[in-house]
Amino acid sequence: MDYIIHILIIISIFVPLALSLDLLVGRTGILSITHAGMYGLGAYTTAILTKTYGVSFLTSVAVGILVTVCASYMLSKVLSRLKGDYYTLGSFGANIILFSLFMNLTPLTGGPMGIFNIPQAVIFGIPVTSTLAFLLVSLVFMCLVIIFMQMITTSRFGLIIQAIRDDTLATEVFGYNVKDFKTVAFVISASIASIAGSLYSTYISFIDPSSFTLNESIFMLTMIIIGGFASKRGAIFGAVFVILLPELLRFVGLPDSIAAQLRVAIYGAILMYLMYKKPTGVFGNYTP
Amino acid sequence: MEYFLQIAVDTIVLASLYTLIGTGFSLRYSIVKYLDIGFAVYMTLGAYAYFVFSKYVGLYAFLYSILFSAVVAYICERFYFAKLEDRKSSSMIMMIASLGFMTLVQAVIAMIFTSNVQGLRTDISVYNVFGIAITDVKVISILCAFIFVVLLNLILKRTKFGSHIRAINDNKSLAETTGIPVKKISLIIASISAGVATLAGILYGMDTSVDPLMGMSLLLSGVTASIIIDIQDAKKVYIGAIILAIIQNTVVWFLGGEWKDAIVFLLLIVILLLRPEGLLGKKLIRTV
Repeated sequence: MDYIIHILIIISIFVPLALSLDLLVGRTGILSITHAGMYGLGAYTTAILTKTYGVSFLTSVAVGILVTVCASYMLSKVLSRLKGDYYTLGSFGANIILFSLFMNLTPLTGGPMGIFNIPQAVIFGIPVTSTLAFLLVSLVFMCLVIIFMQMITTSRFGLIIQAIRDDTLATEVFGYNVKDFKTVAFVISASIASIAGSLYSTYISFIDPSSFTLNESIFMLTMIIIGGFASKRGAIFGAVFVILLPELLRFVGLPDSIAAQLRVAIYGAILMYLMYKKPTGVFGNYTP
Repeated sequence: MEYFLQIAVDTIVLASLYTLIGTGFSLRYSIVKYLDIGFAVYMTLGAYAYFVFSKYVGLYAFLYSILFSAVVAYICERFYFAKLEDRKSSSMIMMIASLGFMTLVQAVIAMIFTSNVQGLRTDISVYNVFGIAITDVKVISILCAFIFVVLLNLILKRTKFGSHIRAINDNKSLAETTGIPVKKISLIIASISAGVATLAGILYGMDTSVDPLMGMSLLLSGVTASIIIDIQDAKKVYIGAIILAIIQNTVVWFLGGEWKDAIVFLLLIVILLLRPEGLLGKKLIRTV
């Protein structure tokens, strides 16, 4: 039973991550590979604040969002001046720079050893001690993100970013400031990732830089590519599929080291196959 | 003084490696026109191929592994990437497909050889010249890079094959209509650049060590070297490689090795912002 609850919690943390990345990649049409870095900012902020300074969980989430908003705003100001492929390459770089910071600012982040014993969350005075209670919290977060995404994609803002994706020049001619819209989309997407990171760090109670590598960003990208771009159903399906696959492989009875690599190999093969046969993904509404 | 000379020599060796990788990448970019992340595979693949071949055929392992990589590249290009390109897939699709290719091959290599760091050789001969330690691998790296750059210059400037490459680089569809065998040339270039990447991978592996993820960080440095000069012009990449190696070793000298990757990207992002076409590139004209 604990095992099932654990899987459900991981899913309810990764579905918002996939949805927020889809806002950026599927809706706005910019291939950004720095989501794990933003997720890491939230995770580290919560870990450092709650453990070292004894700040309450909700305050640390708020500070995490603030830190991520500042970081992603500056980053986006820089990246949005790059075009197409170069944007992706720049975001690659951003993830590697963030990873270096997590890895090397040892006094703050614990370096490669990471941060241990992150305290459990206390929300409105109620300590979230059991995993079942935590599942409730993360499910509420997931539902809020899904509702928020529903609202934002049907709003004027959502329509404009999709217009930018379909024809940047035409949208510019209509007088919309394309760079500003891209920046706002980037900041929103990064903030949601940051909240997911805060949840993750209190749940696992241990973080180290290896959870926020470039490969982890690619892993999140895999979710929305498999599920399909610009589709909420797709992002949810992708996240669930990508998380359940290694669990299924576990039952086949392969040794751990082989199973871990096999799942990565399968993701790679699926990406190659989808780009060849069905670039929209399973539920996607948009061909990149 | 001796210390300084040692660093100078190491910088030249590093620059030679970046020259090989960056030039190979830029040669490939001039034909396919998307940032082929899957290129990282050939350094890893080549180094591991050498690892296997060197047990059986001794020194010929060099040739065999280069040939092996070239054949793999030919097959992948012919039966997968070229077909994707024929459908006029966007560069986002091509990048995702090559990302999938990279994760697939890396995972398969890690499954076969484990993801541990391994040494390629044990019998390193060290020469002492004026108090500077130089290994034979370092000498070979410098020679290979030098010969390759000279040869490439001759081929691109003097031969018919070279002028075809330049024509495709300038305007692919025009080159096609004038009867240049674009497909054939792109297959040849895929093989050649994979071969060069393999050479760089083996030399790097002999100098330090190999692991399944080594290709990525090598590729990113190589790409940076080619972008900061002018990605369109494979002949000049060596200048970028020298600049990058000098900056990287200076930073390592003052701040320590852990910031090596971060600094590469900081440099890349700054150059992309100031001069997106590269330091020596032709000014881009905005087209609609």
